Amino acid sequence: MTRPLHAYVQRISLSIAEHAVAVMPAARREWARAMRAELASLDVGIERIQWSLGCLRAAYSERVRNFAALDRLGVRILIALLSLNEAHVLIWGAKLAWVSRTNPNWAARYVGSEGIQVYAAVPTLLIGLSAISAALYAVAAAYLVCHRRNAVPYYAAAVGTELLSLIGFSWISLSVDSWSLRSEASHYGVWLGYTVVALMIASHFRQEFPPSRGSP
Amino acid sequence: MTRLPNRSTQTLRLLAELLGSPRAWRHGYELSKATGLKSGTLYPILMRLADQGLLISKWEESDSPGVPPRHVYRLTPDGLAYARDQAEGETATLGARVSKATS
Repeated sequence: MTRPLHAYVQRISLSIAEHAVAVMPAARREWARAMRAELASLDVGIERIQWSLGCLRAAYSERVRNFAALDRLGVRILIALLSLNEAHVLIWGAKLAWVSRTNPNWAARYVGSEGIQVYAAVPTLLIGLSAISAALYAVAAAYLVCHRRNAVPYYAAAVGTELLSLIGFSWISLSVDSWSLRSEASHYGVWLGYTVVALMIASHFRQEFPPSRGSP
Repeated sequence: MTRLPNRSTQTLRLLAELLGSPRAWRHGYELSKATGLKSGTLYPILMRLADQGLLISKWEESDSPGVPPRHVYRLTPDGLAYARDQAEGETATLGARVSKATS
């Protein structure tokens, strides 16, 4: 590994671990610091990143375990239903993109004659990503209701794959026509909103529990 | 009331590893290597075991300059007894399976 890459991996892994310390509930913070302290003993490389991502997973799992609102089954069911709705939207989008190639007349009834150009241009990889994201949302929803701690990695993966497919889809729509550009701009707006909320939450944790670099 | 530790494969693997050297203080990374558990799985188990009074932890200063203190772990007397019970239970279950398969 080259020296700049070495330093970059070190910085990234430390930042992830610092974030894990900030996210971990106060009563458990010592454990997150323990995980972060282990980073100094790991060889620089993919193992460091894996370790710090594990810290992050543990921290968010503990945070979710400690969300009082999630103690209520009704709240968990509501979030699970919203997730299933998202899964349904993704599957529907993937189906439209697939059918646009084989039966454009049928698909045109739902997306219009302009939109069909965009859907027909969506590559199989993006259709697959949408389907995978939908499946991950469904699994996450099931875990949220039954065993909420296990839902965290599935939600993270679902949002990640959805973002990837959405970015790809938006890029294709830009290259096809302007009607879709307007349509996708609203998608970007929604995701921008999600990102702002996520950053606000992360910032809240950071302000409430500032992570200490020097102390254990 | 604290929940009793579950008997997941990962927990049993960790207990067996800690039982192998009951007096030694072990680092998280060392335990991760020995058990094959990733940090995201290992630490939540360590937390639960500590909550239940089966595991004790402390910070250990490093001999090397610039290296931060590390958290180290070992089983408490209750933890040792629990780990032995679990190990005996596993052996008995395995023995029953073997005798059933061979009969």
